[in-house]
Amino acid sequence: MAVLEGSAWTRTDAGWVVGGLVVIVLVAAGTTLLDTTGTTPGEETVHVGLTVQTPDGIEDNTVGVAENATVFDVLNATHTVSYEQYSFGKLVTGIDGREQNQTHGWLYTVNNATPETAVDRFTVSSGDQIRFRYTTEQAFE
Amino acid sequence: MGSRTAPVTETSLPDVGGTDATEDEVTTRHTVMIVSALTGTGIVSRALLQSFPSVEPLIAVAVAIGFYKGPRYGIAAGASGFYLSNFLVYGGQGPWSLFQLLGAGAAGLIGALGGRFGDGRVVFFGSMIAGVFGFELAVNAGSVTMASLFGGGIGMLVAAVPFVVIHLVSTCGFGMMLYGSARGIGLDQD
Repeated sequence: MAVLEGSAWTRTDAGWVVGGLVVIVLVAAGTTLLDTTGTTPGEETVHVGLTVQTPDGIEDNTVGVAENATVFDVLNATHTVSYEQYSFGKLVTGIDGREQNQTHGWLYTVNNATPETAVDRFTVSSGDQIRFRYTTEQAFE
Repeated sequence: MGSRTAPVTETSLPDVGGTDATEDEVTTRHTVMIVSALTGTGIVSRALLQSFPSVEPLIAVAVAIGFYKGPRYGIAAGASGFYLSNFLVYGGQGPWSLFQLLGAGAAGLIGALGGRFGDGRVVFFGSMIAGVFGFELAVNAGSVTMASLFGGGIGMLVAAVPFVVIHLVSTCGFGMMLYGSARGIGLDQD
């Protein structure tokens, strides 16, 4: 067992460190196959209801998403979404091109209750009813 | 009362207790420095690796510290590492923190128990594997308990299996790095 010059390290020690590093890199690369926002083979799918309500009408969908998906994942899977990122999470500012303005904005409820968390931090459960409303209920800008 | 002709220095103290106490202090200081540095590195690494689910070094750090330095340090490294790193990762603190702290502390304790059986690599990596299972048992028991309270199901446990496997393999990877580094950084010294 050769001792590396000037230190207590041996080549065997260095081999363990490099080997460990290789294992970690390979595992980290492997985790990219476990996409938590999309469904992967063998992963359970949950179905939730999604309603998007504007002054022009109401659009209802049933959306299948991976377990652990968030409200944002559900909305993003079926609509074109614009948002702003804040420290508390994502704030939806537009759906399918309808953007918030000084009088209107997007509010959401899950099972008729208003969550106190951002859309990307609320994990949905099977059977949840999500509703986005383009509303004047509060000032948005 | 006579005056002293020479100052009393550490080396002139009687051997009874004095010298040993100083050596103990130095040893303790050295151990605390290594444990703090490793735990700090683990905390930062967990934050940097948070985009890779279940790839985190703190369980390996807790087990290795418990293995070489004993249960006190192993439990402290695991529990404090998870508590502090939760401030740096997505999701932060929550009810899960309690189970993480218990699980990581258990991993440190398992490492220390392993260290009593020997210092070879078989015992070391056996402790790593047992430490991961101890942690996962605590965390998933907590998840299932909370899910049951809020209407979730046992399916959560099944969904956790791939992540347990990733945690197991990645912890062995970090364990390999720590095993190889132990001599160089003085982790395996008493």
